[in-house]
Amino acid sequence: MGKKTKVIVATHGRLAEGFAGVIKMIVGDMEKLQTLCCYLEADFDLDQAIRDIMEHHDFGKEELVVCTDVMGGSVNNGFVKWMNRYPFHLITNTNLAFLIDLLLATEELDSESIKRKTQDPQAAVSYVNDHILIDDDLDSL
Amino acid sequence: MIKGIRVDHRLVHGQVAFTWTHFYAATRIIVIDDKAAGDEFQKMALNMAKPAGCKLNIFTVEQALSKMEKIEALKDSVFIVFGCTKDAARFLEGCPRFKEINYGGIAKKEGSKTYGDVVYLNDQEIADTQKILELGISIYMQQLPSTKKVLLKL
Repeated sequence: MGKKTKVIVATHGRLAEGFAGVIKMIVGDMEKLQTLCCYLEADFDLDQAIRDIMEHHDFGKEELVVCTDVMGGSVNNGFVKWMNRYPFHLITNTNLAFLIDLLLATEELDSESIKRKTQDPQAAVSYVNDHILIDDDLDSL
Repeated sequence: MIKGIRVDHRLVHGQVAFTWTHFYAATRIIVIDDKAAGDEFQKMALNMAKPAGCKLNIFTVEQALSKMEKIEALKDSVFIVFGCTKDAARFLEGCPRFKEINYGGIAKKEGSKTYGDVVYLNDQEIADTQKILELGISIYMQQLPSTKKVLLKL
């Protein structure tokens, strides 16, 4: 039996909860998904919140994947500071397609397979107008 | 092999493209819907919504019935999606060898009665449903693989 994965979506404001709500609607309940909504209170302490996550995670048992909202944002910056202390995977510019792909994965995830998911064109920001021009490849059986 | 059949007015959308396709390990989605099959733009749009690595066909009821032998001989895991109860009932009358069908989403409209969280039937849809039940096919309502399966009774 392979190692399991825990996924934490960490964002400014309630975006993380928004992602979780939509994922529940589209995919259903996901035990391995947790959220961290930052700065909802004036005295929110990101460093302390990250410390809690890291100290309570059993890295021997479960991979930890943290998905933040934007490169250069304080939430992502906050997690970067912990990367030399704990072996977690950090993803940013997270979107719904990527999250669903990550959560539905049945194989054991490691840095290579997670990296491949971040490079999947299906999950990239996309200019849909250009897809309209592409001839469809429907087969007729 | 046909893994599942579902009525869903949104056709290929998030729940279908990601979750059910994953659940059935489907390698082919077949949309059976007269309206969509006759609309080139909608066909293109559906093709855009299909999950990676999954084939897609969009057939009228008549086309689907004429291809059933071929479809059943495919090596693919097939997931069939109907856009409306009318096309589902017509298809099942022509090909009644299914034990059950999932009503995964039928939109609320004027004069419709509530049967489940996302299943609303008007008189025409109730008549279609009656036809399906009379074929000995049971109808259940289930949005997602992880949510409860509820039998539909008229």
